[in-house]
Amino acid sequence: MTLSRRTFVAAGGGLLGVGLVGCSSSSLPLPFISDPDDEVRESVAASEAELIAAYDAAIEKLPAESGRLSAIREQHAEHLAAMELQDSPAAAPAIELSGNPTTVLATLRKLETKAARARVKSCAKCDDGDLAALIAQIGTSEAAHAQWLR
Amino acid sequence: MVAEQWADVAVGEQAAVYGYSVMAAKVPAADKQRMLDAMEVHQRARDLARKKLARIDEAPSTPVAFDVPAISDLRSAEVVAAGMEIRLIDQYLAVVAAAEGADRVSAAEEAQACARRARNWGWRPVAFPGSQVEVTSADLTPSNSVAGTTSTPGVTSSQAAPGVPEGPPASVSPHDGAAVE
Repeated sequence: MTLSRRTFVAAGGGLLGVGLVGCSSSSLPLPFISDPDDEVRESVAASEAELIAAYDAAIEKLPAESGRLSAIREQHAEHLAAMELQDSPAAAPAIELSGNPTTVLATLRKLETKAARARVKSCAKCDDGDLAALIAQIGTSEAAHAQWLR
Repeated sequence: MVAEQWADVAVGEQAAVYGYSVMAAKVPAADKQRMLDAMEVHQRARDLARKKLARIDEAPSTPVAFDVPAISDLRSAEVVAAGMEIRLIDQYLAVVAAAEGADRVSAAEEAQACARRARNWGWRPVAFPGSQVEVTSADLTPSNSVAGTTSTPGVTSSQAAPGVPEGPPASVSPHDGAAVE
């Protein structure tokens, strides 16, 4: 499980509380207050990691398209970074894209469309409105990517 | 209060309706229908935003007029169109932040629709659309124009008119002037 910066801040606050009541036992479990939106962040980050892996495979397969594909890949890396996870999500398994260039681009288009739809669902789950807007914004980028790949 | 955000969307959508109606009259015939189709989409979105406001007992504000940047050719129309769509993304994202449930979902979906339309006008996607309100021709990839590079009297394509201004901001904004609707 990856932890967000917020989770660490919350956990740090909990540790301070333990210190104030004077308990010095090292066997006490660490208080752990997780951000309710962490699950959403992790889900989005994992999806972004998968998209990055897909673009890595596509760039290798379609060097003639590397300009556009690399630009989109970089944007997914920015989406991933925006989730502010302390640890990167587990690397997505390498993806093998088969078929001709048209098929590869169609596959990427489907992945982007699926991701954009998933962002709508994810933003609906957020407690934090600003995070919801950020995830919705990421979805707009992905919706546009799908269109760019046509 | 989400009413304020929906009110901004209603005004933004009305600006888009007006902007597309103006541009439909200025682009080559082959691209006119695209402008009119976009106008109809925004009419529906505007009406939806107004319904949301009515539901929460807020009267929609009604600007009397809008400023539309000069449209000298198809490319400049595409810049304005993309700019309107990107600006609307910001307004829908404000609803997403303030709303919950169905309103949030609806606003997120509309923001995506704006991004797709902006792309259709040639806008080059970025990681976080909406934060760059000013769209210039430098943000557009080669046109998706139906008319392509064919010159039309009075309205020329970007290739025929390389001097497309990098600015001013491609926004259609409300003002308090005389009614133009």
